[in-house]
Amino acid sequence: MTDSSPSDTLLSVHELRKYFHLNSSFLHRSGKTVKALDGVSLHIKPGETLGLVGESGCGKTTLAKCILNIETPSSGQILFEGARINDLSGENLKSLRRNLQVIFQDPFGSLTPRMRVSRILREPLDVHSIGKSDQRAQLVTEMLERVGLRADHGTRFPHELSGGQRQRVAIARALMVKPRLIVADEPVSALDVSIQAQIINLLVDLQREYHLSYLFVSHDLGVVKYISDRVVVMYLGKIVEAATRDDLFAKPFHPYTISLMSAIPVPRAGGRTAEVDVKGEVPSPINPPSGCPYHTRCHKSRSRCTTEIPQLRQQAEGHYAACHYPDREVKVDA
Amino acid sequence: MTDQNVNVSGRLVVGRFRSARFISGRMASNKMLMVGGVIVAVFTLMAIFAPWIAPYDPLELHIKDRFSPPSASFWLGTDNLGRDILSRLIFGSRISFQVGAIAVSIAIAGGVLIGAVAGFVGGIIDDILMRIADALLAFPPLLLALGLVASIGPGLWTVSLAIGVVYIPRVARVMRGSVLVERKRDYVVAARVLGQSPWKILLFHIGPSTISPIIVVATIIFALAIIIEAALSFLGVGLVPPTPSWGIDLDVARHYLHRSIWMPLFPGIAISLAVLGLNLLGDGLRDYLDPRSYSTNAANTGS
Amino acid sequence: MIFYIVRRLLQLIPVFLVMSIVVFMFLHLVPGDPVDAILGNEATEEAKASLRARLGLDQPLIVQYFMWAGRVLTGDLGNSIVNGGSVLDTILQKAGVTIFLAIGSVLLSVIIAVIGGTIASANKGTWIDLSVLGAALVGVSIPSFWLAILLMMTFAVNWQLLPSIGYTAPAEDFTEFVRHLILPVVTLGAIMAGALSRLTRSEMIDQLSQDYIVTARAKGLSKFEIVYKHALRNALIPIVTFAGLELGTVLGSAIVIERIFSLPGLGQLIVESIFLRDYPMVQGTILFLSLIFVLINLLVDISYTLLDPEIRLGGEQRND
Repeated sequence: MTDSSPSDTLLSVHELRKYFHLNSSFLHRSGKTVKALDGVSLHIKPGETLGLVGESGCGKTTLAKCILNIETPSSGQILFEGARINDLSGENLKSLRRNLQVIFQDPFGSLTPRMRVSRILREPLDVHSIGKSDQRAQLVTEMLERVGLRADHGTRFPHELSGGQRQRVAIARALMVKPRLIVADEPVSALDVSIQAQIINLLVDLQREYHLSYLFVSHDLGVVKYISDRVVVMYLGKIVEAATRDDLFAKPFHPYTISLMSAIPVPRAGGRTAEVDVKGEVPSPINPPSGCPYHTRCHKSRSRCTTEIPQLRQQAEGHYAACHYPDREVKVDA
Repeated sequence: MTDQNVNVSGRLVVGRFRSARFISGRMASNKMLMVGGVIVAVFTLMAIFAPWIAPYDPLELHIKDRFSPPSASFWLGTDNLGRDILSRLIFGSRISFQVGAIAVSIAIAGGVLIGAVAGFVGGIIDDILMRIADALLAFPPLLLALGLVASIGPGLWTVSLAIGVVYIPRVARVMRGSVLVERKRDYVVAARVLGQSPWKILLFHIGPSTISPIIVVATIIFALAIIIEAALSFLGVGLVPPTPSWGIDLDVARHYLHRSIWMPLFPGIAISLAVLGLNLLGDGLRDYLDPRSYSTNAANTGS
Repeated sequence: MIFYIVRRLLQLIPVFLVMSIVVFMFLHLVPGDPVDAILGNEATEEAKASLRARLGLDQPLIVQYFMWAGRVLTGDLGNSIVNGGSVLDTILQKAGVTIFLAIGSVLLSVIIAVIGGTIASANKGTWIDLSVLGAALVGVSIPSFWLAILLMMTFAVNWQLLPSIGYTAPAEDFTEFVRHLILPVVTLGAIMAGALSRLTRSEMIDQLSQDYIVTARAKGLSKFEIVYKHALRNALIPIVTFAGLELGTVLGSAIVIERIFSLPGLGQLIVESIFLRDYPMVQGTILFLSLIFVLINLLVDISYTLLDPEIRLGGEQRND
């Protein structure tokens, strides 16, 4: 992707790699390496939502964890407001934490089971000394109401709340420190469809109110299409396509993106998409295919695809795809 | 010891076999919990209110009534010195439960600390601590307790200390296992992303989630402590006569088998009932507090 | 496989190291001066000094440990403070009784458990099953020393069928040897049978629901043949493994049982040595029994791995 000047970029990731070494016990050294992230670059602007799409195991969660400073990347750079953040510690890391928060997929697993909601929400204030200590309870109540809960929900334990309510608490916790960027890792996938819409709308409202940026990680292109400004598609640790939301959905280049789109249910009669099957399973990241990682499942794979790794190239203005034979024929209903 | 091996080391040693439960299912586990809870509650009340419940002083000699069978004045009879067996049993529960409580506190305090550090810090510290724990677990428990008591001497506190130390590695193993599971959970990651300090994460976030398995293992160690105290006292190296310990009373009783069947009968029943109650309670709690059933329940409350 | 065994043996090194340190500390945890504890306060200074030198207590702790551990490695467990005899010789001389007791009770427990567990599983849910389970529950909960006293009271004191205490060497009078060991063996065997029959029952129930049993049924084999020939054979592997592991724990229980029945075995030796404050003897015996316990566990583990190909792979990958 293009380099953008630091001024209009909140977060940028350059050539990020994360390799996991498998099973290297003392006597057995298998020497196998999983390339969870294999040279990923992207950026997010203030107030923008970047959708990150891919099947499970494509490295999107690893990318999220690297950005959150939970995993240490093997190489590459992560810049937040132009400053390198991938090896912070101490106070610097702590001040980064104030700007960078997370929402997880499973709101039950992401809330401490034996802590009351009010304490869960108060903890960030205590950690970062936000507000005077006698104001903090008030801040917690305000935030509860802001995310659509009542003040008395604060006295409950997470298991006494519904899935949607729990996710509201998780969102509130992330917002307590007034972050600039929230990494949302599949934030609605575990919820009922009816509740998904409520949560997505809440996220959109909050974004406007607090001028938030989102890195919105999902396997569901339908949700991503609704919320994102720009979209990045990942496959086996690599970015295979990146574009603005409108460009991507109007004219996808990569066969993988096209196959993902064909999986979105389209309610309109007559508006049939060009059906392309995603055939087969995702290859094991331990033994990634040679050449283009997607060629084992690609319907138009040719011999070049099995030997040469395609680079991310600009296919149209601001629209990048990593494919030797970018598809220009198949049109998808946007 | 076989009798105490059955519940804990039986399960630990044979962990790869299916656990053989008497009864299974939620209803059954509730029943176990209830029966075990009632037995343990009765013994606890006996231990606390011993001086008010017991008809006699447990050390008082009724020389004229030696070896008397159960009667209106001595409900469970008297022993070789004419002491009231019932009163000694009631005060004996006090001794057993004191030893159990002290030993469990020591085992929990040491084991939770060591297990939490091992599981949370990981790396070489974890390796070293767990190697030591494994080595200590390789001792037959009674043998280790015997060796410790042999060197630090008899008495309520030394016996409790020895038993507590013997079970520290067992608690440490359980604690480490829970910490390893919990520390990968999203709520821990969320706390890290918030910038919470590692030790506060361990204390406030991970710690409370490890309580259930610790409660279960504490219950079972309580039962084991009672048996080991009785065994040590029975061998003459535990508590010192004339302390009203069930083990001591059994040791005395075995010399008068031709004179009294009551002397060996009742202390044995007391030990067995207390151990049975604690084992049922432990098994019941294990099912009741099972984190899986816990989260399924919670998930069902969703709107 | 050899690789696996070698690795298991290597893993024992830290175990033995920690064990030896713990056993070594038994002498040094004694509050105050161990020499005072051993000889009493009235002993002369010369006697104290000579004992101190004999136990090596005048050396720094670390030096003492390595000297002691070095001797232990060569099989020298020291000498008794009380009679000066070699600790190892005394142990070997008394080990026979404990071994007879341990093996006898493990065999008995397997027999009881296999019969009880099999009958229970074949009659699952009936009163037969429930009474086996009930008996097992009793076996699990009652302490071995109480059962010993009850059996002694019934068979030796009241009915006078068997001797209550004492021991006769098998070479001397084999019948008497057996008669003296019956009650101790039955006590330990019955206690162990509790846990073992629970295991047998659940293993058998599991086996009886397997596909091959259903096939055997379809082929018209009788219920008896199915239960005994097919299911039991497969259930035996875990049962025997568990019993082998129990053999180790029996060594612990034997201490109490030997005391009750006045059997001159290792348990009795430990308890008497504690009374006499014969610390080298206590240390030696506990170390000896613990090592045997560890080695039995290892043997059981290895034979289990040999017997069960499914476990073999998993076992080799196991990291701890």
